[in-house]
Amino acid sequence: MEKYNLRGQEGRVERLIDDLQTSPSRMYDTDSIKYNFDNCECPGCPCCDPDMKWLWPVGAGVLAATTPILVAATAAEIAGK
Amino acid sequence: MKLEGLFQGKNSVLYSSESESVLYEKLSNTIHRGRRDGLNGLQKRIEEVDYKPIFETSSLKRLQDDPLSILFLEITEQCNFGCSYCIYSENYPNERTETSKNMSFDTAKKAVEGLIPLSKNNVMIGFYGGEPLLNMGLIRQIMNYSKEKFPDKEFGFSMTTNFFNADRYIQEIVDNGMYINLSLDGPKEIHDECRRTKNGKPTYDKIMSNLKKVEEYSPGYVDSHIFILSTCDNPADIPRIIDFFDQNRYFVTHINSPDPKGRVNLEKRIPLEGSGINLSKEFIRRILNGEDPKILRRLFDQDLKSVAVRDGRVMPQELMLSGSCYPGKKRIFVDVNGDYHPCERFGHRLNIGSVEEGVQQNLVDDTIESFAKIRSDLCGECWAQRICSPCLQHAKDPEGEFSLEGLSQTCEGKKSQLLIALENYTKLFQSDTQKTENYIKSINPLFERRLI
Repeated sequence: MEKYNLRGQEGRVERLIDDLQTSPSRMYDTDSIKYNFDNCECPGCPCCDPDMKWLWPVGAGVLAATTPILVAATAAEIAGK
Repeated sequence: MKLEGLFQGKNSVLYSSESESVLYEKLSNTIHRGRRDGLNGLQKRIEEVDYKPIFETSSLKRLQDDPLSILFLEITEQCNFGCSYCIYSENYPNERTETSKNMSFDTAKKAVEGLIPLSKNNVMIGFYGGEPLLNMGLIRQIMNYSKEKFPDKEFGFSMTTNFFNADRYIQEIVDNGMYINLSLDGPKEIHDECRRTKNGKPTYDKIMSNLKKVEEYSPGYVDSHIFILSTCDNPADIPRIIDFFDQNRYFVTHINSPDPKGRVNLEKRIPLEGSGINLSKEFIRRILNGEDPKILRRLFDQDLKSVAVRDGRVMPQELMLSGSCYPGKKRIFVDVNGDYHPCERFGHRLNIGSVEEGVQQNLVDDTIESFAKIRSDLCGECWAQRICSPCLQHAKDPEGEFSLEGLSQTCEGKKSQLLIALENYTKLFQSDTQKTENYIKSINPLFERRLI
């Protein structure tokens, strides 16, 4: 745990973190899926990923929109409204 | 898709799905699966913790020496279409209106002279509008001038276009290797409902005819150089759009809905109802069968990656401002007047310089700091803080530039999107870890196009 101002929560939070990390319910992602924060600039979106700069299309989108359609369609449904 | 027993707290989200429950918590940025009663207790303890990390800007500022990759030029504000959902239509009273204004060659030259030296060997010039094909003369001048002025640079050219007038310029487009970002909404009846000429004429047939002519002139060019953007104004149309693009070979990069921010005259939309969950199931089925999900990638890939590839630190005080590019570095948008903006998606908002004065670093720095503050203020009490990566354009304020209120308007939708991704990831992972891992690593358009 990084140094964090726990404002009097130290013992309780440390026990919780220990429980979270050892809980049988924890889902263990594979090592190759995890990213190393220190060596990674950003998990990234296609429009600024340096590897994609030449081949991912540039400029698509503004005339229409910025909202992925599935979100617009399902937000209310998920929220159970 | 309906998730049962959904409880969204400030540090975690819990829901039940089929035979088990899923808990995601941001303290250790981890997903838990198991019985509801056990996870309920865990969530209660998690929610008692006061954890509000802030967003730091130093990681982003490390990119300040990055070379320019893409220069966008707003060639014209004119357009020959009158699309019902266009942000420059009367339905968006706070956006710029369409005018007959063109960029002058003098402005374009100054932009090229001032900005191309900021690139390394390779640089893309993107022509934007309005409809850039209405000012092909200027595009021709800029391509020639750039190559002449900077003979050592390797230029790529792209154009964001409705492609309606492309038949006049096919040879020129292909011979210059231009990448085309083409707006095609889906099958004829859906496309023609919104995308019509100024005179109200349908446009689908002419665009398809132009694509055919490109293919006749240069077989394979459509596959390698043309990218499709689909805008869906009616959620009920999604399944038909998916079917259409699933059955043809066009490379679709975005399926978007019209921007709800600042839009007036919002018509009542027919909801998607049960189709969303069917698409999600089909996406998972294809991955587990070793098939390419094709167009379904556009609905689910990016968020699946955000949920799967997570920062493993426990309760860091500061988070990276992920999702945001460095304004005015990798890409710059130059409007018809010669003013600089961070991104074409942001339109004329947020001036960060001009062809006369160059990029104003103080404005760039202010922008980054303001955006980090907006995210720190808004996201501290949200469970999705560590897996959500909005960029500046998501904070667009319909009546101003960018703001906390602007970003907050995207929150409900984004959280729903991440819940879908969480559900997809846990289902996939549970079914086949190896296939899931391989798939996550393939979420990259270059893989899709077999280019790496």
